[in-house]
Amino acid sequence: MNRLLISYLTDFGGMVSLGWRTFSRSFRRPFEAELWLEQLYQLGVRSLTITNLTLLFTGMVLAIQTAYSLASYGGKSFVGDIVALSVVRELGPVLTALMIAGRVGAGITAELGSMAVTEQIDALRALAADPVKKLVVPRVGALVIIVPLLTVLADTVALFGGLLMAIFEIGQSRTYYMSHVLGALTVEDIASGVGKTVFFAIFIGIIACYNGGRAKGGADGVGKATTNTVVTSSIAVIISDFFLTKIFLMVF
Amino acid sequence: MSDHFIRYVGLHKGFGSKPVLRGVDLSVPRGQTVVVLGGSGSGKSVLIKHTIGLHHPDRGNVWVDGTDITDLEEEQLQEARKKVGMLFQAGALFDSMTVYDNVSFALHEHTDWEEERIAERVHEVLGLVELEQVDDLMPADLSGGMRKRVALARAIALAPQAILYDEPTTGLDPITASAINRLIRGLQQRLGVSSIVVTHDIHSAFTVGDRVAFLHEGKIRFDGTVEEARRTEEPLLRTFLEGGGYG
Repeated sequence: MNRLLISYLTDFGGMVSLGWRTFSRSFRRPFEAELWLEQLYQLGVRSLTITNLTLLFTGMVLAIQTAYSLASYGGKSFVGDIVALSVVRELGPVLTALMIAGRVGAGITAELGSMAVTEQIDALRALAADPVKKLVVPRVGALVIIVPLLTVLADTVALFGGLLMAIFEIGQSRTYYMSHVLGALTVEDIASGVGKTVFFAIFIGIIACYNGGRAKGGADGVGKATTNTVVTSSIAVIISDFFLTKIFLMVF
Repeated sequence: MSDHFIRYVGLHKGFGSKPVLRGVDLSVPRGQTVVVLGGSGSGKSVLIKHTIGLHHPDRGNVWVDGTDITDLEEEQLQEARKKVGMLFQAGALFDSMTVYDNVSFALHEHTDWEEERIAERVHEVLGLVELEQVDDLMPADLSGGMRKRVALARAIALAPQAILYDEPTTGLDPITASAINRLIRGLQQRLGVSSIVVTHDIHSAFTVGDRVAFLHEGKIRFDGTVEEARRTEEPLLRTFLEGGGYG
């Protein structure tokens, strides 16, 4: 039990330290634009399908659940409000982050993990290059840029999913649904929803890079590290969401 | 200037509760090649990785070109790393990059040369390892022997003063292995570098080495010239040599 606690604390300390080194090296020249662009494409553009599909169906399901299960409370007329608030404040950011933790986090750990077990990370160091600057900064940086953007897009898609259900299932007009959506949303809702995702991006990126860089012992080690990343970063997203929400509620 | 390019003094290193190096003293004279023999898991690779700060000793000191690098931070190690090239066991080529990008990596990082001059240097070092027209190939397209050659070209691109070879012939067929041995010998003569070759391949050891050191259970049990090694009475090394080297 003691040993387990020590290993958790060691990993946590390692991640904090990696986070700090990543931050401090982000502003050091040269800025490796090519590496950043490559990661923006790999991590961002190629995640569009999974995040948008997830939120499209979430928006649709939320609309019909609200209309039918809350029918006795007059849910039908509030479909627009409820879809808008729950998606923009919670489900959009969290589900997008969870999808990214699964797709991108796992991918980063698998890639860096196989580099670690084949000594490519040692080779980088041997060639007097800095693995944090070369590998971690572009990945975490790309995530910080791309996760908020993916979230905004996914939010929009979810609202559109809600709109489809409002029109074709529930029998509302487009203008009725949209006026409820726009009436319910404030700038603060959007800011707090999107603001959280910056932190999610940092957590996912650092956890994934940390686990990848420490992978040992061939394919088996890489597999374990990858699983660990998905589990740890998903939990980090869910738990930090609670605290971030509290903080954002205090701020706004 | 010290007569020794690389010196390990009383080096101790353990992983968890398992000691790997238990007081290693070894020096590499300038311009010479020291072969470190030892069985699998004897800590040979761990030893040479200390030379460029890939491992840090628990106790003891590492000297490179007259500088004590033992307690240097990552960034302060840059100078030592530019002076010492390393050939990793399986090559450790960056598998997302072409051969050209692999070999030119350090040149792009550490020089402000024009691309033309870099290309010239890349083809020069690829020539030294007897490869041509491989620029656009990916590491996955290369055979094991070619991968080691490209990795060697990458290690010498910055013209290091010393080269570390981690099991250069392991996993290669005898013909390719002897080609690699010839290459190592040739590079020493042409570049005049100091080298450490870590291996359990006795044939390779006697082909490329000026001196032989025998690492057993974390300590150097023998250190002498190749001739002295052949005639040694040291029982452990004797057994190792007679057993064909695979201990």
